[in-house]
Amino acid sequence: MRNLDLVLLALLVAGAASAGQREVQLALPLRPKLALSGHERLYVGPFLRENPEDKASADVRFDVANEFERYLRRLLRKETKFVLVATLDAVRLPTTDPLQLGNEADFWRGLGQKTGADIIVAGSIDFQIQDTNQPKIEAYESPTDGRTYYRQVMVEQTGFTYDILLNVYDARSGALVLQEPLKDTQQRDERSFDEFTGMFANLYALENQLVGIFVPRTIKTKRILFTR
Amino acid sequence: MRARLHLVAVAALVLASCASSSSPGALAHQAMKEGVRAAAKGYWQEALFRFQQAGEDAGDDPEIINNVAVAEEALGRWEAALASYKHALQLAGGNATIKRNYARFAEFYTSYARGAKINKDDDAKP
Repeated sequence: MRNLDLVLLALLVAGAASAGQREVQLALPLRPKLALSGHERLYVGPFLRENPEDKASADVRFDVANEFERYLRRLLRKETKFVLVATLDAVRLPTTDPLQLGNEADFWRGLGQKTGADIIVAGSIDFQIQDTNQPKIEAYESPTDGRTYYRQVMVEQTGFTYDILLNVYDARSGALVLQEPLKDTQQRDERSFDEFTGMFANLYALENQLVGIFVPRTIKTKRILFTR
Repeated sequence: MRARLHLVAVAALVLASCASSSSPGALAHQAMKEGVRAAAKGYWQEALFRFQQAGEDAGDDPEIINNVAVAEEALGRWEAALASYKHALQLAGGNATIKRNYARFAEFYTSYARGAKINKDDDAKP
């Protein structure tokens, strides 16, 4: 009788297995946000640094806008086939209001004429650093009775927030073609963590989104097939 | 004793379903197997052909239609994939696997359509 039970169970398992599923991976394309041919002449910059009077911003030892501009040029050179036009020295923005920049069509058209670019990639950046003390619950084993207790400890952290408003202009008309906000926050379990490393952690996290504005990407995703 | 009877009944049902799949639906079963094998290797064109063949043999089967939808998606035929997923869901009702596949496809399709302006010649439409 026991053997019969085992045989029946084996049959059930075999039946269940025959009505199976299989996970497969697909590579699907993602369109870029801009419908460009990929061979346009691109001018990168200028970028406006937001909140220069802010204390957290003033502590930074490097020029955030320049570093971002340099990083973006390197990224576009690596990932796209655009012709990157040489940067002009001392380009002065007509306003310090990041939202107003998009309306300054005359300025962008003029910059387009000077550089001979088809597209201008500019915008504004806000980079914030916050040193914080956060309470955290931690387990510890008591040396007296060997039991596990929980205690609250203060953990020192550094938070980096990188907020970009990327504007893409048609260099011939000066019109704003695309406005893309990009934001990333990173936490490091250390007080006064190096801000340069923190900023690049933000930028690497945003890299995929930045590239996705200009060129098509592929994403990997999973689906289930029925196998019977 | 009652538990054993239940076990016998369930086993009989499983055997009956296996037996039925080996007679008229045997071709469909074989085509499905070959389709899944091709899909696993990334030969989606062949996989689609096999799944469609299975569909012709077995009729309106939501599991086969789900596989057709996945193959169409892999080949970039978004409109056809959308229609197939909807058809599979209509037939299967609350099948969680088909629902999950459809949800993932819908998420992708929405972001794809939200991208740059779509050409009229393309298969995809927002």
